[in-house]
Amino acid sequence: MTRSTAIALCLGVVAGFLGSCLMGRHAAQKNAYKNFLRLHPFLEQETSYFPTSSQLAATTRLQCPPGAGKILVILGGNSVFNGSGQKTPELWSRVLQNDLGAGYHVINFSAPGAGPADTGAIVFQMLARDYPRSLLVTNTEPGRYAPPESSAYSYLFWDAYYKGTLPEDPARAARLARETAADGWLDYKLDRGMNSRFYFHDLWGGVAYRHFSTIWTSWLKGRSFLARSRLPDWYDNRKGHESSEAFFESLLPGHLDNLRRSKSVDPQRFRKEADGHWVQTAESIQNEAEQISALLPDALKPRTIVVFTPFNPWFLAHLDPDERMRVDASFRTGTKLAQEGGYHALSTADKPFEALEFGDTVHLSPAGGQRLAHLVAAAVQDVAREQHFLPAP
Amino acid sequence: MNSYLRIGAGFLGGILIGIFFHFLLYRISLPLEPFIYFSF
Repeated sequence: MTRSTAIALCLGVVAGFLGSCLMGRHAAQKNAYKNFLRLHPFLEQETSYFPTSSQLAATTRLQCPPGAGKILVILGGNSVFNGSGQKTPELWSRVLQNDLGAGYHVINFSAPGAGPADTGAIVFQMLARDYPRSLLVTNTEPGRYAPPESSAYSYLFWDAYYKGTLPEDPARAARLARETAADGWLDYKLDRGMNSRFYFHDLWGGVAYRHFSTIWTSWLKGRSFLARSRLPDWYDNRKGHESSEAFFESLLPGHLDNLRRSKSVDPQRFRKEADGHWVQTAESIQNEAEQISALLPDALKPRTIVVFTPFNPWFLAHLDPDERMRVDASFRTGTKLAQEGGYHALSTADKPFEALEFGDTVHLSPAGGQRLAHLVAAAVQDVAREQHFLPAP
Repeated sequence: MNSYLRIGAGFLGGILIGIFFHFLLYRISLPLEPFIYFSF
């Protein structure tokens, strides 16, 4: 190889790499999902596909442009809000959209295992300025308030953080400054810090969505290399279970054991009063108040509804009386702490959800999803009125 | 003429290598173990 050919090769490498970065930067603004309804497993990390914060924001802008004159309702939260087990036609967030009507636009970014400040909450923060009439509705179990920077979906927080698309939050900045590499985020910081400069996730994630995927996953087997946009909603081709007591029996003892290990039952968060009632310990209340406070910037809390989604009463009936009292105390305390923290809170513990409105311990059947949608729609309309999002009558 | 071809081919080859490096960054940043969430 001559010297001039070697120089041309090196220049080509630089040009190819920089060109890819520029294409990635461009793709970050254009990588919207088509006909998006929710982050089903083929569109999220369960199948090693990691949508970027820019992709989710672009999807929102495509579905509901800022000038559309609609109130934007972004859903965050976990698999209950994700509609786990519900097929596309019966998805609860579609019922919510129908309840709210054409003046609202609902977009569901909840994901399995996500905390209340993950996924949808990240997009909500990114778009809060461009969408002054937007609300976040997110769900969690009382006691589960994982900070977005160290949750199961923390990659999305760091993606937005390093791209500089999150609003300023002095409390968050102080908290992040106190943390160290020992907290285990170094890989995400390195990955997403580099992505904010080179945009490789935005380019190749977009290619995987539109053209072809390069990720083999056991979930997809022979279809691993198909474009993710060509795959149907994962739940649509899945054989569902009819909700019945016989089916719930078949989930014992595993699901009951998991319920007993949940935050809502965990005896370490509670103490028993002299009258036999259970209340949360002062320490757990203080910890959870701090965690709730850290979920979002103060200015966005009044535009956020935290929904404490219910447990299946059939499984609750299998708990002993002390355990049930702890669940009640957990929902009461969670609701109170969220409200004191500046959020709107909706507890569903006292709502008449029936056993057959569940698919298992926490996930809702289509009928349960409808009940949830009606409750959330009423709460959204209340907050929209309170925030003066609606035109004066 | 041949030298121009060699330079052009080198440049094009370099571009492909540069794109591949960019793709490699994406590919090696993906976790080896997929995230599987079991709640209940």
